[in-house]
Amino acid sequence: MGMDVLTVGVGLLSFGIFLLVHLITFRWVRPEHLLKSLLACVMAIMVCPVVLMRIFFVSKILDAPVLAWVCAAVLALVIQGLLCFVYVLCIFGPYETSVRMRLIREIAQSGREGVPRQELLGRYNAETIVNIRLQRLIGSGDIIEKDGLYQVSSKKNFFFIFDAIAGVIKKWIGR
Amino acid sequence: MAYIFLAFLFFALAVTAHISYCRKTTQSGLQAKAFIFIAMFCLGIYAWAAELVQQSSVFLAHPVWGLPFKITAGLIFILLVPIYLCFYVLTQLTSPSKKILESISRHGTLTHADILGHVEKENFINTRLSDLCASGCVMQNNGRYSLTSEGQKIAAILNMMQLILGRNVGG
Repeated sequence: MGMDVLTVGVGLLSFGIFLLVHLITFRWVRPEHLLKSLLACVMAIMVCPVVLMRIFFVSKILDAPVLAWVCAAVLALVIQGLLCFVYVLCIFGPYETSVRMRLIREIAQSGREGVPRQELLGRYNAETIVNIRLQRLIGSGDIIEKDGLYQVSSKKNFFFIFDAIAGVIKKWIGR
Repeated sequence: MAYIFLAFLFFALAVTAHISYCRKTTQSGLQAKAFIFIAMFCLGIYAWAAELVQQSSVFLAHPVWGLPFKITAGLIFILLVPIYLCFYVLTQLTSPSKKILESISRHGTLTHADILGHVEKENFINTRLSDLCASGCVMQNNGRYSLTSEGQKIAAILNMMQLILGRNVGG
């Protein structure tokens, strides 16, 4: 039980460290560097659970076999990774990229009297959407721009895994 | 590790049950709530199975299978639920980034104007505005859009997030 609680605690603490680093450093990250910076931050913080478990192992905080400590470190890593994933997919990602969230904020600026459609489209429209995303996709290396022409990069970045998994689920659902 | 195996097994069962439900249902739209109910049910079965394992001397004596990670396994199960839901939603909605990548991929190379044309065809703004009105976050009166109390709460949360994250508005 002690090892179980320690594993969860180390995973949560490591995620807390990631969140702190993220909140401090990401206010200066430009949109085109966002994806690479996020990946770098998550990968860098992955050492936290291993280091923390090593410290607890050396200080003999619990009496457990070495195998249990190794498994605990791996599982703490998994918990931290999953928490980072959930944070990026469900909180940070929607804040940065959601069209609906942006529309809500644009409408909020007009207060109670509301905003006419044309004015809303003047502030936020398809061109804004395209420009923001092209900036991000070029920065992440998904797209190359040359002489005003855009093409998909042959290099796959880490996030293509998301599309691959979604593709498999879509195939199984059959709709 | 028996607990970890059980957690993944029951999560896989939850996903399988959800996909089967999605294939058979005649209801249109996202079936996210269905997965949440299925997952909660499977989590309950996991908790029951974990208790059985704990009482079983066969597993507990094993140096690998008997490792005591019951709560860890339960937490992993819970964290997998929103992750699966995000992937599920991705299967049903096309994001602007995905549309841009698909358009460029299909044509080889595109200019900015071409990309804009493809994105405009998807009508992202109008469909999202309609969704916001349908979900009760935005109301339309005499051609003007304003936030409902629900929408105002969301806007307040987003403002707080901007304060905490220190980033510009997204979109």
